Amino acid sequence: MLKDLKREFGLIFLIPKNIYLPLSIFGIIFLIFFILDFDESFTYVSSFIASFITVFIISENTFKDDYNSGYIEQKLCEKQSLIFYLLAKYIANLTLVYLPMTLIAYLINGFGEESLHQLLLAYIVMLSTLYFFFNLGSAISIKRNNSLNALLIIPLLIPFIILVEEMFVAGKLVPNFNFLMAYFIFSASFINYAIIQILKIQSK
Amino acid sequence: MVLYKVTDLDYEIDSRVLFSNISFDIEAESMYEIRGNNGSGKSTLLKIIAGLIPSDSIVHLEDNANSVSYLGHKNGFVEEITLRENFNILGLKTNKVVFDIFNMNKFKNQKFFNLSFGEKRKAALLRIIASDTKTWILDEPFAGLDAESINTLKKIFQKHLSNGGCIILANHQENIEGSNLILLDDHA
Repeated sequence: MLKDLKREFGLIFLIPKNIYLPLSIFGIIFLIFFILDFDESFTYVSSFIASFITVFIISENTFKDDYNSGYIEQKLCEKQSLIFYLLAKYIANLTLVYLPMTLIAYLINGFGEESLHQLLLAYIVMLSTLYFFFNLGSAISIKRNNSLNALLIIPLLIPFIILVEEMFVAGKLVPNFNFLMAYFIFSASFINYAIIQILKIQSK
Repeated sequence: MVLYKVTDLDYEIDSRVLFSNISFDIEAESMYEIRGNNGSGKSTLLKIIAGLIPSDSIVHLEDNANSVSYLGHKNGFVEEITLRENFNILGLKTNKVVFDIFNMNKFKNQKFFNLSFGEKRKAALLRIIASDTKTWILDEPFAGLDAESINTLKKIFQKHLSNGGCIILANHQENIEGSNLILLDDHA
């Protein structure tokens, strides 16, 4: 696990575009919405759309480089765990990309002061869930070099989009936060399990 | 000591039989050379042995977790960073002794994408050599290497065997002395 963490953090620090690209995309989309000057209720929607597009774009390359370089094939043949590989990728992205994104969203949007911690947590959980789902699309489309399969994942996210809208726009934290956590647990376990199986099939 | 036992192994891709009824044992402290023409299934057989392609015809008699190093057709390195950085993020030794093996010291601070095919292959072989694993599974390890590097690699192979290691490799270049041949021609 430590080896995987060292590699993933190392890759993000040694290739700075891994940090500034997602943050730039997120910032630019946010800025566009800001300039358009929608009413207050729409600011949360804009932050969701910015997150959605950013995670969608960056997740396309989650496995592609490692697949093309033969790193994933090597890991599988050397009986190294893909669970730790995925976990390390997630922790590195969470720390260096998704937490800063949450901070930017907070600085631009602000969240309701009365339930600030819960909303910040909900935002991070929302980003993480999107990350897992789009990674599934990335794993499916790894050989075909396009986003089409990742787009097929979007219907799976429709209930998720509805509950996020209820939480951030309508301000109904209960019970939507619980549903969001359920979605997160589902994606962190089952979706990642599916990703591992797909990567194994793709690497044969 | 037998590491892998292969019995009546068959494999076909899109109804094309690559090989059928292959049986052999792979023992420690030995070298196995899989030979055959292009498309005869050398790489596929290596992947089956490594466990990437599941098969009921192969039994892993030893727990090979953390004791196998694999080198396929691809090198497994990140192109945008230097050779030394690649070794660093993988937690491998980056001392002079390692890079001196194939005279790679002068290239260690170069971006990986700036290296030639042969240099990249040497770097990938260094990763295998620097690892402390017993079993090496190598797909065409001599591809792209010059004569001097091939001789160096053969000496390293002998040293690894004398240290109790096992080497399984696919090869269609010159024979390696003392290796056990697994021939895949004519649907062996």
